[in-house]
Amino acid sequence: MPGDGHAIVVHLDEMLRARDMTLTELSSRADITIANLSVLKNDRARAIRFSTLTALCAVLDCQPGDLISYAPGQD
Amino acid sequence: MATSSTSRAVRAARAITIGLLVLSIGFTALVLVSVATGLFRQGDSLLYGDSITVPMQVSADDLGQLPDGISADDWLDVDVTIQDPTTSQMLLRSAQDLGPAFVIVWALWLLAAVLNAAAHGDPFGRDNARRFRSLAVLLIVGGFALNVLNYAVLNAFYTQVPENPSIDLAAGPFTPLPAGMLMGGLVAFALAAVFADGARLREDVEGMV
Repeated sequence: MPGDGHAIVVHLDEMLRARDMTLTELSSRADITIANLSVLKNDRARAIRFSTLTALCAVLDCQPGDLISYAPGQD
Repeated sequence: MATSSTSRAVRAARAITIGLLVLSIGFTALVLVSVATGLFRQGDSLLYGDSITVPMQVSADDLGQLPDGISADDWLDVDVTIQDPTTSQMLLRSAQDLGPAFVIVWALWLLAAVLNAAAHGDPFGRDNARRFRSLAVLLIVGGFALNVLNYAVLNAFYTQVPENPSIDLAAGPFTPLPAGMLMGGLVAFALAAVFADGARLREDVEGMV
């Protein structure tokens, strides 16, 4: 559930499940700390750097729109 | 990130604040014990004993002719000693000490908590912003309340000091708000706004992935 005045939902959990990938594996391949991935996965992120998005899209082989979506009414 | 000199300064400020807090709590406890002994001994309290001194004002007209070139204000501060005070007089005098003591203990408590957070490298939190807001309200409202209390106590004493036909005494001027506490309160309000912004910025940075 998004919070802090925004309505952006991160689908990292679903993406990992669909690819049968663990957070640790993604952390290692995308060179992003588990702490930061955890923030993303648990919808506690307030902003995502383009470099983070690029690394995630490269490893998960997806588009940014697959990772995040706008869900009005859930903020 | 805090430099080592900043950390030393914060640690020193925290140590001084906590020292002052301990002294203030000790003084407050002493006044409370004094009140208890005063109640038990019908006015003869631990702190003030068998005489209390009350600040009053005396009319300059009662002082007689001053030499040329020397002038006095209309009303001058004097101390009036009351021998063998009653229990109510002892309570009034104790209230003059207890009121400021409670405000000082509360203010130092808030300040110590702020400095404690700063010493742990976490000054820009919502808690510190809230503490500064509380400190601001305490200084402004507390300063006004203390002056009202003090003036009420002085007026109560005014009706009880021994009459002296040759001298015109007064309970003293009423100043609604001490300038120092007003300024301190406004500074605390400004710091509360700064810390609230700092807390928001820190949360933004922490939420950046």
